[in-house]
Amino acid sequence: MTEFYDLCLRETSEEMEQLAEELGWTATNCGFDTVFLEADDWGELKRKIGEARSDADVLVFRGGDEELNRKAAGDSRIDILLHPERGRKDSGIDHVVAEKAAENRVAIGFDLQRLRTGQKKQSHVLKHWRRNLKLCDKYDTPYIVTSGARDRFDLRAPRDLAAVIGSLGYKGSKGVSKYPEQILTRTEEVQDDGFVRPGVEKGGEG
Amino acid sequence: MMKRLPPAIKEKERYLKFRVRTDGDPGFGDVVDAIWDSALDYLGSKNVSEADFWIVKNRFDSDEMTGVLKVNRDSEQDMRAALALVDTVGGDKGSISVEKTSGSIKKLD
Repeated sequence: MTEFYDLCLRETSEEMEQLAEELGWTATNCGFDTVFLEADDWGELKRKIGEARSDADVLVFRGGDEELNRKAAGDSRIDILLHPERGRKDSGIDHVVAEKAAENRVAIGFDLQRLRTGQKKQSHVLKHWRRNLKLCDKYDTPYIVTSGARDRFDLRAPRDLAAVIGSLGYKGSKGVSKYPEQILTRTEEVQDDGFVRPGVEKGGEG
Repeated sequence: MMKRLPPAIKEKERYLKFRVRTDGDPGFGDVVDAIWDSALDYLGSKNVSEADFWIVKNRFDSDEMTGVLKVNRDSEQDMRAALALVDTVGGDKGSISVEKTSGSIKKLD
C-alpha cells in the first residue's frame, strides 16, 4: 500500500485532518509541525532558520526572490523551497540552484494554490513548473506537490495531485509519496538521538 | 446503425468514479459545466478531443454527489489533472476527487 503525504497544508484543523484521511492521505501536517518561513533578506532568513529548525518537523521556505531561492537551496536545514516561481516571470530556479538543492536535500515545492486562475495565468505557472520539473529530473533534486489547502475545498486526493505533475510528463507519484516520506524520515532521525548534521551519522562512543 | 469497431482498433476506455465536495447545491448541469470548463482551460480543445470524455447522466447521484466519467484510457491522467484543478461548482467553492477507477462501469458500484 503506497503511503501519501502532504506536508504543506495551510489549514490544519481536525476537520482538515479527517477529510485528508478520507481522501487517502497517510499523513499531513495536521499531525505534525510544518513551519513556513519568509524573509526580506538572507540575514533575516538565516536568523529565522536558526530559531525555527530545532522545533519544526518540516521547515519550508516560501520562495519567489531569486537570491533567497538560491540561498535556501544551499542551506541543508531547509526541507522545502516552496513555489520558487511565485511572482516571477521566470521559473525561480536555474540549473545551479537545482543542483545545489539536490546536494542539500532541499525539495522543490509545487503548490497547487499557484494554479488558481486570477493570480497568474495558469499556463504561465505550468510553464514554470515544467521547467522546474525538468531541472529536478536532470539533477535528481527531490520535489513535493501540495494542495496548499486553506480550507476543505482546497484539499485534493493524492493521485489527483500527482496527476497534475504526471500530465506534464513527470513522475507525480514521487512528489506525493517518496520525496515527502524522505523528509519525514529525516526529521525522525534528527529528533530521535539529538542534533545530527545531515551527512553525518552519530556513531557509538567517541 | 454504426458497427462496433474490431477490438484491435477500438478505443480503450476508463471509468472514473468521482465525488463532488461543496457547500452549495449544484445540479448535474453545474457539475458538467465545472468539469468541461476546467478540461477545456487546462487541456484545450485538441487534448479534450483526444480524451473524448463523457459524464454519465444516469450514474449521477445528487444526494451523494458522486458520478461517473468515461475517458479514453490514455487520457486518464490528463483528465484527473483537469478534475484536480476544478475549484468552483455552480458558483460555490467546490472540489472534485476521483474515488475509484475501472475498465468497466459496473465495477464502480
